[in-house]
Amino acid sequence: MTNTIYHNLDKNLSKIKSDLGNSSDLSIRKIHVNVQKSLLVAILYMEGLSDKDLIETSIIKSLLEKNKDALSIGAILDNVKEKNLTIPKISEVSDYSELYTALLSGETLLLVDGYNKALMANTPKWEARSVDEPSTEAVIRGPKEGFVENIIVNSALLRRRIKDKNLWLETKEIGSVTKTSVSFMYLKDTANDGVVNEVRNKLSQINTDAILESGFIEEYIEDTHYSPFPTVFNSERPDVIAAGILEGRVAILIDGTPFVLLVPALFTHFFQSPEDYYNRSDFGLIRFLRLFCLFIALLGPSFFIALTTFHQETIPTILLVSLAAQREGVPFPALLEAFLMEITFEILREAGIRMPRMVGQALSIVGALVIGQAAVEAGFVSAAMVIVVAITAISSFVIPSYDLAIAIRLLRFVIMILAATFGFFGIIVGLLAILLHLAHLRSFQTPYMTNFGPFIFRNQKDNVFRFPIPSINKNKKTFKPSK
Amino acid sequence: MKKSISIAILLLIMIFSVGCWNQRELNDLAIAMAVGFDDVNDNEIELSIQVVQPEEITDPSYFTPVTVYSEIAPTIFEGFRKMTTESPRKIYLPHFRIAVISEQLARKGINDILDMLIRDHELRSDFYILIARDGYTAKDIISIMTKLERIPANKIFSSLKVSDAAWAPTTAVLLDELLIGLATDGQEVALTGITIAGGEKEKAKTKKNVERMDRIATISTKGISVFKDDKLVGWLNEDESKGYSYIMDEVQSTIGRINCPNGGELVVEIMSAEADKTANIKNGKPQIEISITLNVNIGEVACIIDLTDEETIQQLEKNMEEQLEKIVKSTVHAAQHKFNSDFLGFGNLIYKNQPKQWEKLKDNWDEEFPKLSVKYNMKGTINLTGTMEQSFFNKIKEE
Repeated sequence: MTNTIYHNLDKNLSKIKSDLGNSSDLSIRKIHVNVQKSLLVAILYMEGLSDKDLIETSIIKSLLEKNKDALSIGAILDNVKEKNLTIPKISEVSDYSELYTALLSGETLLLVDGYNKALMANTPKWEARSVDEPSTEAVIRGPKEGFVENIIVNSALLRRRIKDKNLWLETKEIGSVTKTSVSFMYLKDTANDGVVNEVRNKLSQINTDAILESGFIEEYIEDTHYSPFPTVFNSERPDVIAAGILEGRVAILIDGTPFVLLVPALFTHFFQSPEDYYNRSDFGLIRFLRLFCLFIALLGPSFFIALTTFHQETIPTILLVSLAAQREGVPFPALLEAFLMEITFEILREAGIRMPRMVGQALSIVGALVIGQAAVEAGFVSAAMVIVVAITAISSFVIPSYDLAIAIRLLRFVIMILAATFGFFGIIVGLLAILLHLAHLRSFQTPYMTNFGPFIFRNQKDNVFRFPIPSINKNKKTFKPSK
Repeated sequence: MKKSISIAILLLIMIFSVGCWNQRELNDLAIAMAVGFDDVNDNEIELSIQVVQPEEITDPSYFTPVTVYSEIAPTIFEGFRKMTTESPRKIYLPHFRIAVISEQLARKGINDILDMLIRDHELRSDFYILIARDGYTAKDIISIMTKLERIPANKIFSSLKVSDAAWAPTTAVLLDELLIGLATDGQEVALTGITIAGGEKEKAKTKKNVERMDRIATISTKGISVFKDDKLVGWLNEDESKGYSYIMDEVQSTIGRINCPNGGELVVEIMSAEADKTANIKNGKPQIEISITLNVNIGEVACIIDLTDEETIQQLEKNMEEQLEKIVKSTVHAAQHKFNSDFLGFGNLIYKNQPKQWEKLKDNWDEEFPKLSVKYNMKGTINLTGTMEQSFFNKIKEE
């Protein structure tokens, strides 16, 4: 089977029709240009992907009006190619596979009878969401712009923030079926060449049919799959990504999703919110609070289990008596009690995300009343455990990054089991294991715990606490190659 | 891969083979708040334990908030274990607030009891040790129902803590302090006594005791017991107890009475009392010097007196110093002559200040101690006379 375009227009059209399975959104318009020479031109485009107005005014109209007096077919062809079409971008294809990619990306094709090439006019236009406030990373103070699904708009949003010729953009097409555009952007001279090369290599090694979301790319390029901790950062906010690029990181934009990836990603990045920098610096204390909440989210139930089943002597007497009173009649051991409540909460959370908005109220009534209050009154769980699980749950939402929150949520259960078998000893062993794992992790050649270990003293003004911006060292160590 | 799998399996085996050693749920514990030791059948010990009924504390119904279990056994450890025949739950010891020892048992020696209390790895050392006096048994003491604090052991613990700070004749001794006292050379110990005030102790053991406006009987601390080695030898009266607290520098705040120059008394609040003891050599013999500095405010005047007069104040200060000296002297007298027990730690003082002298004295300290000479330096200052200059008492009398 040949892949090049035929000379015969009808043959071409019937092939395209049958290749596309007679899809009804394919629109074909045949026009006679220059009646004397009887030059037949077919205009093909996909409905909904191309700009009909543009096709009408800039292609059909000019073809019909400007070729009346042409003398030969060759002259008409030249006219069509170089003079007639008032479209910014025109190119030629001779290959069917290219033709299909172009057609399905919203280009308009012009097939001329007796000519074995097709002209492509760049006319894509489809319905898209406008630039909007990001729903996942809301701020009180700061820009309200978020990325959209269109990669062109997204890269433009970044360019608007960094007007520097060193901001370079490279684009690849990934996915043999979806043919998704994936671009990466970085500041030449600021970004580490090694990291840029690694991104380039990893992206070109991806061999898959489909890329639908940034998550697909993330899993292809992350350093290790078997770690609960995210080693690729993502954000919906152009300001966050721009800040990352300025630090020398590489942003990866994927067409079709508002989430842009940023590598390398360090542990400390997952605690930062753009607002840390937009509000006055006393707000930098909030980061410390987040770190503290990380420990509550990770250890809350485990600590409670260890205290009440192994180390009762460390609880103040009065508190012990009141805890013991609450546990009277609770049939399950503390571990099972905690698991019950934690799993209930996970179910509620999952349901909360998936359910239609309209039934939200019903869910909150069931969650708060039935599971919270009634479970305590019925004596299935103790009130103290409900409090502990609630504070743990709230703390896990304080962590700005949802990816890290998922990791913590997973590890929480592991540490709960350790706490229930070994008490505080188990918790310490669990924490040490996590610490070893974190110290071992790398994200694009950078140690995951950078700033903590390796401890970089001059970066500490913008790590756990944020000092006033002018006082943060100008020579803050970024991701530049160390010479 | 094979290696990591085998390591994972080994770790799993480790977890499951140790099981949950020492793991116990809160509702499997009988939390003991107080323990009492009594002497019965000559050489057996009756062990009594006050156990909390947790839900009665937070949600009172018809039970008493605590239960007392008791068991007679030749040794204490046996007694604790034997108690499981009676109690449905494991007795959990670390939360003791108080340990009460009956006077009778204390006179025989407390070393055996203390040994168990220290040796057990679970026990904390921050509970008070008390001596049940006036013929009451330790079991009686820990069986009395109390108000305000629903757990009687807590009541005793808090009232000891409060009165230790605000009332000189009380001294609260924690287990670790007691041990240090017993283990120190040239130092004997003294423990606070506890008794039941008001009669009908059997009725006071029921809820009836807390259902009335007043109470049938209550527990209160009373006096300080004096030990020689680990045996109780006697009790200090209130003045002697007061003197003990002054000398041991344990007074934070208390009340004192001063005689007025023209008869009658006035009451002062002691704001600070600092005691300093040193051992010196005088005529080749050791001498103890006790210096106490008092700062007081006048709290109550019940005599005719002109408080605006500088001389009167000086006279009062002099009276105060004399009276303080009298109190302190009575304590030293009790130590040297009544009990011949060095609970004031003079021997230890000599050991610290004059180690060479101590070498000579320590072998027959019992004979040397009563002969020790003591010098007193009392200094009293009246700071404030309260919000009134003259007592309205004066006016009434003049009219």
